Amino acid sequence: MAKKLSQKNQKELNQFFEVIEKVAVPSDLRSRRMIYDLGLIILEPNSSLRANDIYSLFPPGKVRLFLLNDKHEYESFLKELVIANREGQWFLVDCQADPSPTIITVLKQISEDNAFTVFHFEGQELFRMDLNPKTRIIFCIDSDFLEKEITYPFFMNLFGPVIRI
Amino acid sequence: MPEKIRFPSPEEKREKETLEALKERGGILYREEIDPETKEVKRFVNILGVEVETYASKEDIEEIRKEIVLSETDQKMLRTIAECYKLRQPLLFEGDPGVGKTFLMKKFVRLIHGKEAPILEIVGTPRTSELEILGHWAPASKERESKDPVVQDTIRRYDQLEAEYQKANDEFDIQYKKINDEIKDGKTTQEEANKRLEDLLKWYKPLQERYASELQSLIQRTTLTGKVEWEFKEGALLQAYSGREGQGYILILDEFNLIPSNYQQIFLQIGGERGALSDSISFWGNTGKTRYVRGKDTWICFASNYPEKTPGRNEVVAPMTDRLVWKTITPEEAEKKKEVLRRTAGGRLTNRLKELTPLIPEIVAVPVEKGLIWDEVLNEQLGEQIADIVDLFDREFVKIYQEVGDKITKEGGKRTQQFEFSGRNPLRVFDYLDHFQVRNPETGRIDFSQTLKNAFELYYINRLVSEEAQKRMRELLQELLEPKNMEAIKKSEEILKARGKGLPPGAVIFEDKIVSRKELLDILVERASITEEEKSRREKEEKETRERQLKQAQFDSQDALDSLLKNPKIPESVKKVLQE
Repeated sequence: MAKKLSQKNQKELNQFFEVIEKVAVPSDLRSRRMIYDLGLIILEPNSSLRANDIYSLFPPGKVRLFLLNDKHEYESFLKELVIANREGQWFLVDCQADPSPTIITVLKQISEDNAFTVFHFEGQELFRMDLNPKTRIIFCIDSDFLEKEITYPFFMNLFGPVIRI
Repeated sequence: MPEKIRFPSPEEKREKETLEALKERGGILYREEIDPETKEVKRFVNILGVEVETYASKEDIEEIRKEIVLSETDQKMLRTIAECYKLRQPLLFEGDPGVGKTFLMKKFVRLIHGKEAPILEIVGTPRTSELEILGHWAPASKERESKDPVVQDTIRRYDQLEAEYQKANDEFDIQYKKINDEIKDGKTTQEEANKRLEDLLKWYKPLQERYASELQSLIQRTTLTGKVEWEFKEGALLQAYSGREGQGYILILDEFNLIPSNYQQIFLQIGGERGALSDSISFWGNTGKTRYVRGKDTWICFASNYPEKTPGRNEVVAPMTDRLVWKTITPEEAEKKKEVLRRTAGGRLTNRLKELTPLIPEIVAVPVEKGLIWDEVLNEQLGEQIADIVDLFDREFVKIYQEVGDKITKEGGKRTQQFEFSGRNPLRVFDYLDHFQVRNPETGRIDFSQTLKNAFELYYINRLVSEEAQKRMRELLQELLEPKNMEAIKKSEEILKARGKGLPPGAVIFEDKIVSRKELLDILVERASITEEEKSRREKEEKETRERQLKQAQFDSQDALDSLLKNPKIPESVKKVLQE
């Protein structure tokens, strides 16, 4: 699969992953608590790359891939995210549907607090989870889809590093 | 005349000590006390002068305190949060992204519930619906993994029903927005718009009802098979009211203006008496009407962006604006805050931090322990005066706002965000006066002019973005309390003769004198502040003075007589008469 990647793209992606892995920013201007950014990979219209190709660049077990193709879906997303977080895996989301409000809430919380709270989960009224220091979250999205289908107007603000390939 | 020395009361001394402690501890103080009856330890946190009960530990509060840079803007925002929480009045911050709207709200939740407390939060999106806000019935999560054809069929039907309902909601919102935009752009009249809205609702309501009845029938049918389990997943609003075993949560609703207008309207239910949160909310579920009673810790705060700067130009629906205490973070306030953050290296430069973030006395006013109470003191002239000032200011504010409006930039036209004023603000002011009366440091008595100014700032002026508009409203308030040319007015005998005809609204005739409303408030407070003990002390003093004066007069007359008797020029016959 990785054959579709040009050397340039390969290099850019490696840099992108390195930035995601190593660079932390303060959770707010005052805080000394550093948090890791969420990453966004935008697949350009002429790109033949798919999220699966990105996934195959990682060593086995390092990344959990999730296909988001239902705009009402959030429960499986949360389940998979929690598993990835418990295992210290990266969470790569193949975003083919407009994320539901619950997913947007979770992403915004993670981007601001490095933790998220959801209700009615795992038998708890309010379930809170800190992000595992080893876990990173990356969304992979088609540029056309990003422009036309994403309804949350501040979607791009949820992410730190963004790469277009 | 020598300056009169005033000895502060123990209560006043305690208030001063609290203020000093607040200054020393960076504006946030922890305190605990043992309930004499239950022996239970009660914890309190004083946030910029507002004391509220907390579940957080002293250590947590100390840690959270260090994470907040209290620039003047932050002091205003945090104090507003604390005041509204104490009165359980729902609050909305409106401002640009990154000015710390939700940041401070979250810090506040942690000051109340502890550093690690989960925070109940929704980020509003154009797709947020009643499912997230109120909740919904759905096949239990585990059912999606079932291979049973009955269960699979139920899930398929449920998903189909949801999708259809979602589509109808999306269409409703598009049409609703279109009508509103046309009103704003002058493309349609209000009358025509109302008719179209009515038609829209005629189309939408049956769809809503059909959805509810079809869902109900699906639940009933499939439950009978014994194969499908359904569960009701309460949404954030219901949880905020009755979660935590009935104690409730603080709910943060971020990006509120992005939520479609028909779903924003679900929150109309939170508007309760005196402008505070309602005591309960009701939800029509599939099992009928369920009432959710407000817990003791329930509170809701909202954050919103300026519609002018939001893609899609969404705004908060007008009826909702009246149900919220509204504070805009003006571009000037945002800039001041950012400057402090930059110049203190994000709060790391401790000396500069002290220099640039002193507590502002007008913001951090410690309320009096025991204020004047409506049923006792205020229920007479003083209360009537206060009510008159509130009435005058409310009427004038609304009138000017409707005529002139507000602007987001100097060049810009009227603001997109419109406010509705249906009378909740004056009620909020009265409630505020019950809890946040402040003392005049010179007289030691309650300063109602300042207390009213604080209340008007919170409920009225904070809604405005334009500094020019804010200035104008502050001047209006000043004119209502102390008109500019008061000295000249006082001398006007014509007005006195005409029994006040021609007086500006800020002046009144009181006991045959013209006084400003501020002066009258001070006089009435002084009279109301005299205790029985003070009254008898004053009477005793007056009696003693009279007796002293009488004795002195006696001595003086005796001296005069003696001097006459000793005078050789006065004939003896006259002296005899004088002696007699």
